[in-house]
Amino acid sequence: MPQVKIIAKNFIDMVASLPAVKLDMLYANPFICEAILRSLPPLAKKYVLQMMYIDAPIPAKSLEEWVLPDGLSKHRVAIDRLIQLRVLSETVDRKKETSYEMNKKFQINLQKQLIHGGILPREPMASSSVILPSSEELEIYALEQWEHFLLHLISSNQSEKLTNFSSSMMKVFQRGLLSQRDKEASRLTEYGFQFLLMETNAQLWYIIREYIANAEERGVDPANIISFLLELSFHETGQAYNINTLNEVQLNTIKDLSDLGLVKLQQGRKESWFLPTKLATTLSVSLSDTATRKQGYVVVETNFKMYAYSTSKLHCEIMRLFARIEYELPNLIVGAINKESLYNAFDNGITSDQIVSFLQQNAHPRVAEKVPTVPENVTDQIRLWESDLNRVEMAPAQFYDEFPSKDLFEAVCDFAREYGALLWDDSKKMQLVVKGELHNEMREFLRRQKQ
Amino acid sequence: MVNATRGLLISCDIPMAQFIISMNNSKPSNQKFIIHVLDDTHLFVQPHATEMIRIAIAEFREANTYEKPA
Amino acid sequence: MAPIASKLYTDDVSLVVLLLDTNPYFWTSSSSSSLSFSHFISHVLSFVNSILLLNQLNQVVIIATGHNTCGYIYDSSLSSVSSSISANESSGDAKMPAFCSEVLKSLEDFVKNDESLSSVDAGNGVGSSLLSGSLSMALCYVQRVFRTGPLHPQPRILCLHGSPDGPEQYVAVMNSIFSAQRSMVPVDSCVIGAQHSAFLQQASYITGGVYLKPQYLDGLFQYLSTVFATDLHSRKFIQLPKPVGVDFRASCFCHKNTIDMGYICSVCLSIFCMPHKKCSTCGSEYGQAQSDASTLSGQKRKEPS
Repeated sequence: MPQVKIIAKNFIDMVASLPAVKLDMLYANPFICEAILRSLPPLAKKYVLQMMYIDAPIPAKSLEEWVLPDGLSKHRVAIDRLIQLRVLSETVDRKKETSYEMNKKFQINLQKQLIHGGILPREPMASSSVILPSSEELEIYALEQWEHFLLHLISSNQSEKLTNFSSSMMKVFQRGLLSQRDKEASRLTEYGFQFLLMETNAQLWYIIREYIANAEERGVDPANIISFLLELSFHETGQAYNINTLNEVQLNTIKDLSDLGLVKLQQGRKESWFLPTKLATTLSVSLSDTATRKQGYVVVETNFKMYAYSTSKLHCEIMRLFARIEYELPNLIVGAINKESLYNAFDNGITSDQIVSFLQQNAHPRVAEKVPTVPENVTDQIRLWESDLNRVEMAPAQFYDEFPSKDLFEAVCDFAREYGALLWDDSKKMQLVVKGELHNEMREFLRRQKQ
Repeated sequence: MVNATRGLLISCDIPMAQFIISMNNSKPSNQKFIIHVLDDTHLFVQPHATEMIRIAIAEFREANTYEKPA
Repeated sequence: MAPIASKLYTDDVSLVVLLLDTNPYFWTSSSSSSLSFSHFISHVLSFVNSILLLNQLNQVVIIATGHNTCGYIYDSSLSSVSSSISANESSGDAKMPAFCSEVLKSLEDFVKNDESLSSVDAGNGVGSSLLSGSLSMALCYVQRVFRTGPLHPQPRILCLHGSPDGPEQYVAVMNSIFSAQRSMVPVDSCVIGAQHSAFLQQASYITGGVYLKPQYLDGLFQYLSTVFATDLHSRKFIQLPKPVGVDFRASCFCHKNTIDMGYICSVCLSIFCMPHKKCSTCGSEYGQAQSDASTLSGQKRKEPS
């Protein structure tokens, strides 16, 4: 799903936009190097692996020789990414030839990871001193926390539990998602709807990105939070780690993370510890193009009926966005997709692609293996209904006619085409329509042509 | 001397274009909004006609649908 | 039959099945003088670690090819670092010291077992290792992975081989190559012995894998990470060694000698070096004289009525 890539890429972009000094400090942590490596596009990963033991700079021409002609665009993308993240540094020598050298710290850390494997700064606690919950309990806990958080995010009156986040933090999260109008209850914005239809990892990344961006205002260095989060993803799910191994910044962060369902905090008689959940450890997986392997729950039939085997209120709300909910049974939500509900969704800014990919990705395992997962008549009809709303396109424009000569007409056409503003032309009648914004430039051009 | 007219370019499919033309023809002459009919799928209209056209198309669309009484 | 690669799974998640040649005859002979077994293992372990480093969901399975037997040495999806919680999905990146010693221990056990199985008269020259056995084991594992559902890594087989080809294994090896081709599993080969291996050349050519005989065995890790760590998705974009000339010679089914010209059964296409009265594979009889053939066919024609 492209949205995970966009959101997660934004996270990596955020990392890449850190000042050079901070980024180099981040690379001192071998786990961050590993996480960054895993987030690169596949071609970039290969390049890093190949260059790992090469100390001298490599000329750009040699790098290009590694790729087939088909892959040149991917090659450029990979190289740009590596330079952006300061993994590769570019040098141009006097003969105007570029060569690339790998970031020394990054290189050394990765070499160490390769040979010695990763040793976390903290060891899991012995099982005798802690009572660990089973992995199912942990997963249920994580999901519950996350759903409470989301419900609280969308409408504060719907969830029962209060979260630890201060109301100002919640406002920050809600900034892009809800719009507050005076004397009205807050409504979800267009982006808010899209957010709900995204999958969990993308939503998590969005929240974390906002959290980190906000960290500076609270006086916390974002680099610390980023490094803690990436480190967390290398811990083992369900193992207990003592709280006293965390520094102050990490202590504050961990309370917030437990609200999101990333870790579970527990207290014993003498010590307290935290357990990373699956949400935390699969966080770094979605830095690249993967999706979570969550079990789906939606079955869509050819008669436009939708059956969701779920009890979660959140799922019900999400489905209400674009379908008409008919019954809510103890283990099943029955709904129907019809024109009215879809028009409702389209009015709120959701696109048919988002609805279709939501249905495909959350497909129940029984239908997931069928090709196509969602019946074609349903997907086609959703798209048709959307295009029905867009039958007419309107654009403010200027209409030019009565050209004295064909040459002038051709010249004006080319001029407009260069700016990408030519909307319509007819060479026989010598008339053309140009985007409204270009009118002043066009007037100037015509005046110059007259002379 | 080149003549410039400000307005709105409408691009749509042929039936929609005909619908808009017929709507234009049914209006009294001081309210007609089509400046030029460019070709089968493009029309050039006055800028204020946006909302009017949108509402008319929506009505046309609603008129062709059946909603099961809830 | 062919696996449906799901669009939701990332492009470069791979499952690499490594077939290690542990034939003692090869490793103690002069052909392997430039690379000792312990150096070889250290290159291989670093390579395995680099594959596991590239992606959290990558998996590696190591199968050892011995002289008399083959066995599983290591499976990254089963290894668990701590004893308390058993086999977690996310523990694929095992801590290096634990994973190394696990592999080395299994290898030691395997080699001892292999030695104990060898028969008394196996002293004639450099014996060959059981390539067909390990290829079959690898393919069985891959089939099991295919059946785990729509989301699975893209499998490929990497064969690190040095022993010479044993012509007696020709049929079995060709069968496994064709089944690998059918299930779309590329077989890469890296030959560390002195001579080229015809079996592996054919395997890589038919299944679409890469065949390489490195010149400088000291830099084995660099060859492995440059060529063989490329996942299947990126292979469309990266220059890889092209097959130079494939040795397509077959070996005969009766004596297992490599032959250029021979006799072929017209029914099942099995290859023989000398004329036979009866095909040993399909049981059809041939070589009958013309007169006999006509009475036989006459008899056959009477049956349908």
